[in-house]
Amino acid sequence: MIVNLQAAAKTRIQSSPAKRKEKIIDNLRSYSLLLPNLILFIAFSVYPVIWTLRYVFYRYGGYGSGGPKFIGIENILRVFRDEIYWKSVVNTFVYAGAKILFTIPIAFLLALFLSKKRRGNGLLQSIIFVPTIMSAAVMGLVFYLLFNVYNGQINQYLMDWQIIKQPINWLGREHAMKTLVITAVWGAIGNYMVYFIAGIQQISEDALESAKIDGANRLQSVWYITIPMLGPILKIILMLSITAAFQDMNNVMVLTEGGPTNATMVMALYGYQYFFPVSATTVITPQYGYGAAVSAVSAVIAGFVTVIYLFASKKLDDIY
Amino acid sequence: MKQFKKWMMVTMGTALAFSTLTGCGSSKGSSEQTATQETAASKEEAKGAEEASGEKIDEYNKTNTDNIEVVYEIYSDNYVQAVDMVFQNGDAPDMFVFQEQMFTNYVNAGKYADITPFMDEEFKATFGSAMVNGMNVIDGKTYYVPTAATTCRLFYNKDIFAKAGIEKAPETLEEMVEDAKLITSKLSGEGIYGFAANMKSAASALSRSLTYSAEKELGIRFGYNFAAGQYDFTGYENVVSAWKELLSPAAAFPGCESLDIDPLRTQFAAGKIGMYISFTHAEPGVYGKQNYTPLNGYLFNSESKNLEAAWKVYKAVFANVDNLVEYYEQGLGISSIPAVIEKAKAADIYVNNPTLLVGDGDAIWPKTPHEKNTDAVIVEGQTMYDALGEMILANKDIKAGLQDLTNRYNTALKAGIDEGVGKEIKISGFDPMNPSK
Repeated sequence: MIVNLQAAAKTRIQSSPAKRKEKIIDNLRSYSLLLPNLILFIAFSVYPVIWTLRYVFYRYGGYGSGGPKFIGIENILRVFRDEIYWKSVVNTFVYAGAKILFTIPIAFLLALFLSKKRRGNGLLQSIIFVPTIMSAAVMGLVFYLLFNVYNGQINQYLMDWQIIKQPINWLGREHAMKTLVITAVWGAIGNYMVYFIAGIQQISEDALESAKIDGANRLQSVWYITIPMLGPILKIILMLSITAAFQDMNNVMVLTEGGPTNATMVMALYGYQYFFPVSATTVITPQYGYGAAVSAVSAVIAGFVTVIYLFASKKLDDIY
Repeated sequence: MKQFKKWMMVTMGTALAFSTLTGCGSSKGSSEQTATQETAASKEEAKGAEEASGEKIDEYNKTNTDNIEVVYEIYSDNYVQAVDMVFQNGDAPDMFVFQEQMFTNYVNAGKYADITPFMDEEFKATFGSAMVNGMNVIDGKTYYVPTAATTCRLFYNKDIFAKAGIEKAPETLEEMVEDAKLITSKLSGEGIYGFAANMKSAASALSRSLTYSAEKELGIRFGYNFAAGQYDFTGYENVVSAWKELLSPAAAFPGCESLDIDPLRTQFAAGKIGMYISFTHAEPGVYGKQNYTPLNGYLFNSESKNLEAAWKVYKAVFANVDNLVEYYEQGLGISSIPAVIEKAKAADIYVNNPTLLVGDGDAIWPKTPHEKNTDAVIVEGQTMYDALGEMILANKDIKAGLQDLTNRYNTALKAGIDEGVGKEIKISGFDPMNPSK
């Protein structure tokens, strides 16, 4: 037995140089294929993150400001003192929560109805998906025309249908966040609908057929078969929607610029405006260091929410 | 064969450069403007100024005998960021159109050339009045020469005033509030309201109106008191209170909170707004005497190897009196050069609205510490415009809010001075009626 084992070991050692060479070549081939992506990933993702993190500890107003000055954790402390930032965090939770709350169920229901092979469903899917590929800047302008209080179409229709008596100031302090959520939901539904359709089409027809034979009606099939079997994809969809909602700022930037007077300011936009003026008239001096600190704290908050979600959503992995 | 290529960055016409400038809104100003002409003029002007410059450069490229070719690049958006990029990349052009923020950002870093050595006696005689210490002349070095100017005035629709039974334009802030309320109460049924401001961006709206309207009377510019050498926003209390009334439902056009300047102009043009305050370069009207902001300057890259050629181009195209006369006569902007004003036949828009032009009472104000060096006053928390906006539009306590602004800005000023970045600016016996002296 001992002899046999030694023989086997010897064989392995004897054959290893050739195999090792082959393995090295194989690895080189793999890495060379990865290299272009890796370079781009480092250049456009890793480096900017490191650059940003470095400036968390500096006061730096940009190239013309006379160089960065190391100030330790002063920028981080300032973030914790900054009332407007924490207001923007609250706004972000309200915005993200409301967006997800409406987007996911609507996208799921649409997917449920449109995933069947039925005449016209393809066209409807395309129409619902269109907002996803439209420019946020253009849509911001269109929504302004629709929602503005003095001659917006929404108010005119609501008044014509006698739903309201006085025009609603959709973009004023009181209603601007609701309007942003409406536009965000409109823009996101198509995207998540497509994910749901992909998930629904993966569900075995046999399972649905069995349920039907067992006497389940349509609603019961959806509740007991479709939704549980969508578990893994639902987990991904929810995670994507959470991260997207927390990073969302284009919609806000174009429609309200975070206003009126910070009423719709979200944390991503708040950090962004310390790097780049939101509009030509925004009088905020570039403060790269503070902007980096705001972005870093925001990333931690978004990461924390995602981790909590992943922890809470473990159950979605268990397919029935 | 041309000797070299020059590259110039310019903003799209004048729109961007102007929009970042602060203007002044006086309750004493008045405008008798019918609206349709206004919107057309503001758009045409920006486009026209850009086209005119392009044509002159094309002509220069064809006719100059110095083997100079000018490459002219126009940035319609994010001009300041584009300037940041080219400076960081070491790819800066020889000449830039002046813009306040990019000038302030880089002048302290020595990025702009002193053009004093290039100026001959004839140039000095023609443009000497445009050299102002603390503005374009800093420590004896001249960085740019503005050839035009803008300021802010109150624009009003005289037809609406007549309809509301108001005989003359308001001359005080109190009268303005009164008139705005009267118009709204009498004409809101027809969709006509007294006053509007583009409060989508409080900075854009208030920097062209409220802050300037307080300069002459209070001697405070952007909250800074030059006589005391300190920030003091508390003096704004009455002005902010009046603005709160102006933007209340009893006086204001609905939706001012989310209104941008272009939709505001459109609604004014449609005869829906009785009054608003804005820049004279962008919209024709009539106004009283206020300070003004210089425009149409050109900055030179201190690291350029083509400075002499750039100066030749500058003199031939941008500091050419004939070209400036043409610019002024076409109504593309308001000239501030006496030789141009004397020679030109002013455009009808200025003849019909003479107070559009820079008047005897208009003057250049000294720069506040945060204008002089953006890194010297890093204020934590809400900017003054957002804070003022919240006092006007929401329920933020005015007195406490202004005191808070005063405290925060002075803390930032002191921190900047302590660090050696900023300097105290104190002008003893500062006279707001003669701010440039």
